[in-house]
Amino acid sequence: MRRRIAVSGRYLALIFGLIITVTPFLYMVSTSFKSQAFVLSFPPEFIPRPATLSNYSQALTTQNFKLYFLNSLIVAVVSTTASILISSMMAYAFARFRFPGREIIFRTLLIGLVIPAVMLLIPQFILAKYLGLLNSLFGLIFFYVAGSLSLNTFLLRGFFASLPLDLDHAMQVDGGNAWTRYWRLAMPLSKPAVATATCHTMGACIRGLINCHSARHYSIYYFPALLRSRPHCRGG
Amino acid sequence: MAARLTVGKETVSRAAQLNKKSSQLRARIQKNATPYLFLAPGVLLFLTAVIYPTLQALKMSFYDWKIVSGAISQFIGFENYIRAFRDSHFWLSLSKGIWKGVGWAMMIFLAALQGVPKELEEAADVDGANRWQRFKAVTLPAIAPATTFVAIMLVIGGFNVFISVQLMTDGGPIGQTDVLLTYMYRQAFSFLDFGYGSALSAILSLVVFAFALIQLRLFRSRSGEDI
Repeated sequence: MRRRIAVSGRYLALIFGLIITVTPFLYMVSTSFKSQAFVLSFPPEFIPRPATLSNYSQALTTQNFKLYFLNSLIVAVVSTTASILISSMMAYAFARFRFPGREIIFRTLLIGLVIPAVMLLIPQFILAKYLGLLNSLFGLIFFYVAGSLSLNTFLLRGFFASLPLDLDHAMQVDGGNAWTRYWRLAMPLSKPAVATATCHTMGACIRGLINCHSARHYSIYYFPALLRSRPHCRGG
Repeated sequence: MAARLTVGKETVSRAAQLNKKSSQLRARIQKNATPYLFLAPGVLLFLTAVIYPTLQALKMSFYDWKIVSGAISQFIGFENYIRAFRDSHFWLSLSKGIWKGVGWAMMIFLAALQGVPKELEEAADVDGANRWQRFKAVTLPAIAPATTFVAIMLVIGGFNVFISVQLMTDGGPIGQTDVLLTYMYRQAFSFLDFGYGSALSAILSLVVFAFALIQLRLFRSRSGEDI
C-alpha cells in the first residue's frame, strides 16, 4: 500500500512537470491546424474544429520556406558544433590546470552570463559592420557562438571537474598528452553533459532565428534582422 | 692524463646537463602553455564579440547617446544612472523576477543524477536508510554542484526575461507588466535614448552578478566544494 502511494506520487509529480512543459507545444501544434478566424477564439480549443491543412500548404509553397529552413539548419549546426568544441576546451583548461590568471579569466567569462543580450545589440552591430560580417550566415554564427560560450563552459567545467583524476594520471603515464586526455578521455566520459549543452545551444540558435523571422518588423530586434539589413533605428 | 680525462668527462656531463636542462625547460614551457592554448580560441572570441561590445555599451551609458550618424553625443557622466535611481518605474520593473525554465533545469539534473555512483546508494541502502534519507544524504550532496548551477542560472534567467513579456504584453497596460529589460528596450529602441537604456542594463548586470556571487558563496560554504 505504502509502495503504491509512493509510486503514484512519483507519477503525479512527473505528470505535472510534463503538463507545464508540453502544453504550450501541443497548443502550438493544434493552432497550426486552425484557420485564422479560429486562432484567438475563446475559450481556447485544443482540438481544432474545423481543422485545416491550409497553413501547411501555405508555408511550404508561398513562403521561401526551404531557404529559411536551410539557413536555420546551417547556422544551428555550425554554431553548436563550434560552441561545444571551443567551450569544452576552455572548460577542460579550467577543470584540470592551475595557472596564473585562472580566476580572473573565469570571472570574466561569468560576466558573459549576466549581461543582457539586448544591451549588446547596438555595439555588436557596429562591430559586425566593422568586421564585414553583415548580411552573412557567418556573422550570425560568430555572435551565436560567442554568446553561448559562457554558459557551456560553466556547465562543462563542473562535469570535467567531477571526473576522477586517477584516470588522467593513468593516461599521462601511458604517454597521453593534454589534448589526448581532453579529446579521448574527458569528452567521451562527459557525454551526458555534452548532450545537455548541445541541446541547449541548438535550441537557443534555432529559437533566435525563428524569432527573427516572425518579428521582422522589429527591425533591430534580433541579430538576423540586424545582420541582414541596415539599422532602421528611427521608428524601430 | 687523468686530469684530461676528467675534463673530458666533465665536458660531456656538462653538455648532457645543458641538454637535459633545455629539454626540461621546453617541457615546462609546453606544460605552462597548455592551458592557455586550450583557452585561446574561446577567450579571443569572447573578448571580441562580448567584452568589447559590453565596454562600448558601458561607454554609451555615460553619454547622451545620439544614434544618428554625424550627430555629436555628449558626455554627461553619471546622469543616466542618477536618473535611473530617481525613476520609480525602474524600481517597479526591477522588483519583478519571473521563474521559468523547468524543463531545462530538469535536463541538467538528469545529467547530474546519472553521474551519482550507484555504489553509494547501495551502501546507504544496506545501512538501512529509507528512500528519502538516501535522497537527502547521498543524492543531494552528490548533485550539489549541479544544484548551484541551476539555481544561479534560474535567477539570472528570471531577471533576464524579455522575449515572453515583450511579445505577450509589451509591458502594458501603462508599464504595469514591465520587467527591467522591456523597460530598457523601450527606452533605447522606442525613445532612442540609448544612453539611458545602457545605464539600465548596466545596473541590471551588476544586480544579477551580485546575486550570482552571493549564491556561489552560500552553496560553496555548504557543500565545501569548488564548483
